[in-house]
Amino acid sequence: MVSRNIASDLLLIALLTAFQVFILNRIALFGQYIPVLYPVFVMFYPFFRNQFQFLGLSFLLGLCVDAFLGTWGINAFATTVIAYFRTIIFRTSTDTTTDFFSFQSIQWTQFIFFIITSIFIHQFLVQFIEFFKFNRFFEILFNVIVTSIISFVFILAYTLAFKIKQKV
Amino acid sequence: MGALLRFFSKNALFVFFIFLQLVAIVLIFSKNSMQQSFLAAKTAAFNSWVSGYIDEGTSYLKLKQINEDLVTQNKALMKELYGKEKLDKPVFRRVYDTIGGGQIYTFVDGEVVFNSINRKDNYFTINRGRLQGVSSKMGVIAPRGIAGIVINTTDNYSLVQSVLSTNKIKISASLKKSGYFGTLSWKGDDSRTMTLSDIPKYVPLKVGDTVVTDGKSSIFPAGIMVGTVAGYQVDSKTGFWDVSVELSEKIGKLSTVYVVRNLKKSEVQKIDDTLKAQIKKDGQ
Repeated sequence: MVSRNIASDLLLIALLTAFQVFILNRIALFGQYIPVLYPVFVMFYPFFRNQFQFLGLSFLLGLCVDAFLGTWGINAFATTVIAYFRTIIFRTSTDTTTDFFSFQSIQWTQFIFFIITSIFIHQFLVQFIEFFKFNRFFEILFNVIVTSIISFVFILAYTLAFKIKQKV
Repeated sequence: MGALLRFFSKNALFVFFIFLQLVAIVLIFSKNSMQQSFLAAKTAAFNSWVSGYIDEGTSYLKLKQINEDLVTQNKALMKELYGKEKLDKPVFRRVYDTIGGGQIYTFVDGEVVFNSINRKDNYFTINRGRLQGVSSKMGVIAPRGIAGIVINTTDNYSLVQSVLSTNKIKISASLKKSGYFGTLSWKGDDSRTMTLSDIPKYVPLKVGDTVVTDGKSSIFPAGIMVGTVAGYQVDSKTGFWDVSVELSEKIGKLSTVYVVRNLKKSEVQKIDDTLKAQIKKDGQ
């Protein structure tokens, strides 16, 4: 794999934003559920790199998506949350107590659990902040779950296509 | 100070995270309309709650002055009553309701406690809320014309989307003389005029023609005054008239307003729902 630097990260952000905004947002499955793919940048960013740069880039990615969708700040908020808590999500989805993180070393089930947890937290934050109506809790929760499942399929396809689990 | 610095250097990543989240929260509450209206309703309610107490306090200080005023007024009235010969008795009139139709609209009066006209989407707050029977999507009219639509209510206050809102307000209005209807919206520059579009080019227009609401939505009754035609030109893109309407009610000095309650709204809603169901059935 090409060694990643800030320039390739920025390029990846631009590509993911364009893909999310111009292609995925026009696929509304069953009329209303939009698959979300761009958090893969946050989920599969290499471990043991500059954490400040990672947080900043995650925020930038969310903000780029927001800028195109007109939902200023909402995606940026959710993306930064999963970026900051990524190691905690990773630890809870595996039972490792060491400080060694890599996707190669874990089981497929643990890997899938990690993806589902991340995308669920992300969608939960995005949709609840976006609708901002607490009296429609279950309606929104149902929406979150369906969107998470659809997004999970897309993310799994992405990981298989780019062989993420074997590389990172 | 030293402790603070040590905290920052130890938790630099956490501080950076909090900083990014604060930026996002500021963006969320300043750029998204749903969150904005929530915040505006809460601050307006708090604002009027505080100023209510202040008003009550100052009214106590004014009691003596008010008392003196009342005594002089009372004196004048007594002079009027006892000091003069009575000339004519008041006549009472009784009006019979000959039509006997059911009532469709009722009105709740209220006072504006907070108002703005200088933003792109404007709001004002009135001192009537859920407990007085106000709920969202009710129209608000002022003595001389339409004023807005209720979007959020608390127990005793309501937040109203002013007609001066560029994206949020589209009202169906018609020319009183010819009966043609179009869409009324605000361009966002002048608080005294709104724009009536979708009027076909062959409709004759004159400066000074009256524009009224047409009761096509269940929000405003038909025939409520909107304003008068101040100027018109053909929109080169659509080929329809672009009519600028001078509002008869000055939104900038709104004080007393009436909230329109449509008693038949649920019934209208029901028939609309059957239409939707029919369209859905036909589509399948």
